[in-house]
Amino acid sequence: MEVTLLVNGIEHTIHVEPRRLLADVLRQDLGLFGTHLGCEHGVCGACTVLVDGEPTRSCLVFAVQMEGQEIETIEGIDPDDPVARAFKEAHGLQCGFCTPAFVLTVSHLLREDPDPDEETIREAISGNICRCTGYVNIVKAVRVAAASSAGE
Amino acid sequence: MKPPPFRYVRPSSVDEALAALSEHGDEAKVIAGGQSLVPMMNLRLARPAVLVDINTLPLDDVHVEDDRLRLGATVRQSRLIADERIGAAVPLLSRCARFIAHPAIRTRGTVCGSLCHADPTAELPLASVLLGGRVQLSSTRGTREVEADRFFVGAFTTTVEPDELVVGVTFPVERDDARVSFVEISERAGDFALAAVAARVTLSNGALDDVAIGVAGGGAAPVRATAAEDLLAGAEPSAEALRQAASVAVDGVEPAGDVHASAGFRRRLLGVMVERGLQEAIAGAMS
Repeated sequence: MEVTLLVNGIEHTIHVEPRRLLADVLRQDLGLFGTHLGCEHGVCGACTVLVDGEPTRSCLVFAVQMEGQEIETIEGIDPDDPVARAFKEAHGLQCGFCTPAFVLTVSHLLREDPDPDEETIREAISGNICRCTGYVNIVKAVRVAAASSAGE
Repeated sequence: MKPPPFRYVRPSSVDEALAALSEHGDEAKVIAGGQSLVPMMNLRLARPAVLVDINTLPLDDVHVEDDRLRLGATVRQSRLIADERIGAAVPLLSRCARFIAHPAIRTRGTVCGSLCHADPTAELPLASVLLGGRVQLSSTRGTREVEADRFFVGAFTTTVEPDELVVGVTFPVERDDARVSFVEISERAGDFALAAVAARVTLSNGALDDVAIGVAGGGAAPVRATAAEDLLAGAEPSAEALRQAASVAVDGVEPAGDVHASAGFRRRLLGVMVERGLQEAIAGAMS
């Protein structure tokens, strides 16, 4: 089937089999390898991208369903973006596998709530698993990002 | 793993969707949010030959009419929290939504989809049984409404026929003086529940008036604990009365045992949760 995907502001018209997951199409057809696949059944959160601004599991939607929707992946986030910088500064990552999805999830959180309390932060990232950090530094990174966004 | 091949149908009207379901019968599956169906396809537990995608149909309306709140088939679970009209009309729906999986699942998963999936411990089937929800079904043969307590016939099994589409669900608008609670226990935040309890009470002159108790995880489908409800109707809400009601509520349950919890542990949990749920709802009604 032909589908036009709008990814990070760029339109891509491609042919895909209906059974292809958005995550696989982003990686294999569009070469956007920043979207990572972990469990492939919606539990780990590593494949989370933003669809029309909302965090969405790209392993649980088919690419053919995404016609006309705006998709944002980690490649659309500037490395100097306050959230990306905060993860580096606060040591909110180690191996980096879960990081793109965390950065997108946190970017969405801070767009909705620029100054979240700890409970709100933990609730927002509760669907993303990190096997390295133990989350303490990730929560810290969200705070750093919120503070630096406020300062800008 | 990846899903097996299927034919993708994107109807441009509800009638077209119904025609597709009528043509393909049990070869076809409706996809709305897909947050239960796609994992099952990825794991190859489900292999529908045809997927009928209803996401682009105009089925996402939320409105109150004739003292009932109506949610269309593609209303996402995240709206239960975000749309203030829903929380105002039926507070239990927004309250239980926070327990549904994770935020990134709720942005896509739908209320009606959760009802159709009929997981025995899922939040929305339990809430709909407690609240007296009515599921609205359409097919090329006509339309019908099914009360929630007759909609769920077993684990992952409902009365939806292969050619039927759930087009919406309605709930009675809650009385102003009713107070509700939702108690759920899972191993980690967002995991499938081991057990869940919903309760609703109203008080009249310090005594319990209307009492509703719903239990999930005590069997293949969520049920009302009617014996416990009857015991409490008209009673003073004493600690002893709540303990007795909790014990009566778990008398009839037959929880399953699995790798996550034994049947005995689930039964014990449910007793404690019924008591806590009642306490919380009563405390709300007294304040």
